[in-house]
Amino acid sequence: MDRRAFLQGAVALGLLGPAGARAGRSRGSGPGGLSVEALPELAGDLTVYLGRGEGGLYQDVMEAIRKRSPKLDLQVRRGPSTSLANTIVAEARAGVRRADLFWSIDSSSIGLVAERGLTRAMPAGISSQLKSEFRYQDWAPISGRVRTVAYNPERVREGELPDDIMAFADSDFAIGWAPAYGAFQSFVTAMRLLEGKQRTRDWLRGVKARATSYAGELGVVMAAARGEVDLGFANHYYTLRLKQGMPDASVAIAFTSNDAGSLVNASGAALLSPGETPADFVRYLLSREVQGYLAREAFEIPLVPGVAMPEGLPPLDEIDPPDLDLTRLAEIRPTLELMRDTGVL
Amino acid sequence: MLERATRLIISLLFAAALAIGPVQAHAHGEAGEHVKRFEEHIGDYEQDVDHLISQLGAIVKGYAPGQDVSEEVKALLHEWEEVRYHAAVETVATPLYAPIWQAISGFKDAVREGAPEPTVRRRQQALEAALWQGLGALKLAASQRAAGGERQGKQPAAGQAEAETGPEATLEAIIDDLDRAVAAYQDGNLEKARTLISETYLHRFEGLEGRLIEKDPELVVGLEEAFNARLPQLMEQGAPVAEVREQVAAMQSELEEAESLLLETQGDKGQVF
Repeated sequence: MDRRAFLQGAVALGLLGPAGARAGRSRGSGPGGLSVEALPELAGDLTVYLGRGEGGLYQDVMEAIRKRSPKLDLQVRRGPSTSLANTIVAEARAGVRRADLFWSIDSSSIGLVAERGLTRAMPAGISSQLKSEFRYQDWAPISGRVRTVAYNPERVREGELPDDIMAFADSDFAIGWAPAYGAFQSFVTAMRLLEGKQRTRDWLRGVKARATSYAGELGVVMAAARGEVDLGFANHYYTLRLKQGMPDASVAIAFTSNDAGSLVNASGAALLSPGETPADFVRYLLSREVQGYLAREAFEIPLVPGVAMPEGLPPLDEIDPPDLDLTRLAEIRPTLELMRDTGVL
Repeated sequence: MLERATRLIISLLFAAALAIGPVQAHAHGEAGEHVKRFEEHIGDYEQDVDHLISQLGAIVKGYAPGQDVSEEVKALLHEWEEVRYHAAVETVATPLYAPIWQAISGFKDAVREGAPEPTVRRRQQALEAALWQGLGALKLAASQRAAGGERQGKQPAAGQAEAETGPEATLEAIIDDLDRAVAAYQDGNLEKARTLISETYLHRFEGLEGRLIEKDPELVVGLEEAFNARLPQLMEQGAPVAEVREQVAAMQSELEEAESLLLETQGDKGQVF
């Protein structure tokens, strides 16, 4: 994507103002995707392992589906996605299957389950609802989040920002990052897979020399807004949230091009048992109502064509993410070793 | 020595349980009332473990390589799924739950493959150890809850059974975690205190802050700084407990303010359908 064009677009879209953001909320329920009205009624028993996160909004979706489906006996087990993935694997090893569906907040946890052959093929009719770059055989991405560079425009001129993530290691910017944060580790994993171990090691060392660590990525974005750092690496929604509450906050977002810095990661659902109900449940998650709700309330990127993006983001096809199988982000161990070797963790 | 090592393992795994946080409902249905007040049911869980170990012992006693004990193993598996101890470990000591399944799987594989008796006995011991570790974690959690004072009586600690169904419950849990971090610091366990602060931020506060920052970003900015810098730094510098407690009290006051704000936003949330 042309980053500078995006920056102009972001301003036009209301990233800098609450009125625009509010208008965006009504735009979220666009005409894309299938309506739940067109979907079969859910019935029978269904056990979902649900990754925690997103301030309980996924749980709200579950409750709404439960309320809408009186014939469905829905059991939900919540926990951190990685912990649930490990439990699914352990249960399977013992010859037990308790979950029919796994809705994880990150694709790497889905990968942990899929690489052990525990997922069932996603029906083509479901995958085909997704944008073409998000079609997988073993799982269905539900909603996305994109990596961004959150920068302080009072400290950094727009034109100074490289659109190559690797170039930040050789820059003089004061950088904020959150190495202990899962999304950051997925980003480094993507870099390792795309650029190789040595280049990633060099990048970590280079950035570490001028980096300040924060416990979470909202902290990174806030640090950029306060001017503690020039810029930071964070998922997109932190900046959008901050601008929603503090329209004058001095922070904007930029994207790199076709590298880990613009990775689009996704929450996702995997089918663990056969039958129509689990598959139909995924259809509900991909309905325009649920996709629109996650875009409006959680600022997540809808992955079904035609559903409006969260206010402040350009259309997904204007972002230039790298071509990467998201389930490979489960290969976290070598990443952690690399981060420890370089003293980042 | 072995006992000390086992206790250490239990402590480490339980620390991980505290870090990971609770689950709320169960694949096999809602956890029973006993899980909500698990500290009053330790004796029941102990009986369950004794029963499972006795059942396991009976299988091993009658085992000879090549003998089909699949029905007995199936019965053991069924028993494990049904006992109250299962739901308690699954909910209160989550990281110890998967290792029990793994140990069951190891034992099951050994007898199915007709492994020699010493191998089967080793797998038996591994499963027994996993079951005892789960019980140890439950006991530790129960003692922590009992020692936790008034606030902990009101709200179970992270990793323990709780009905964390809304922002107010999550904020109460964060407030509770901070109390426990101070207690750990007072006991000289800096690492545990830091872990509690970091994990409650990442796994609990982080899930709430999005909506909160829209309501009062300055409040979130202050809390972020407190979680990420002020409180851990005070601890790392070896500040007096009273000073640490004062910092935590300030954070808890802000969290209570956050609770009020989040309750106000409940009505702002859109409908899914």
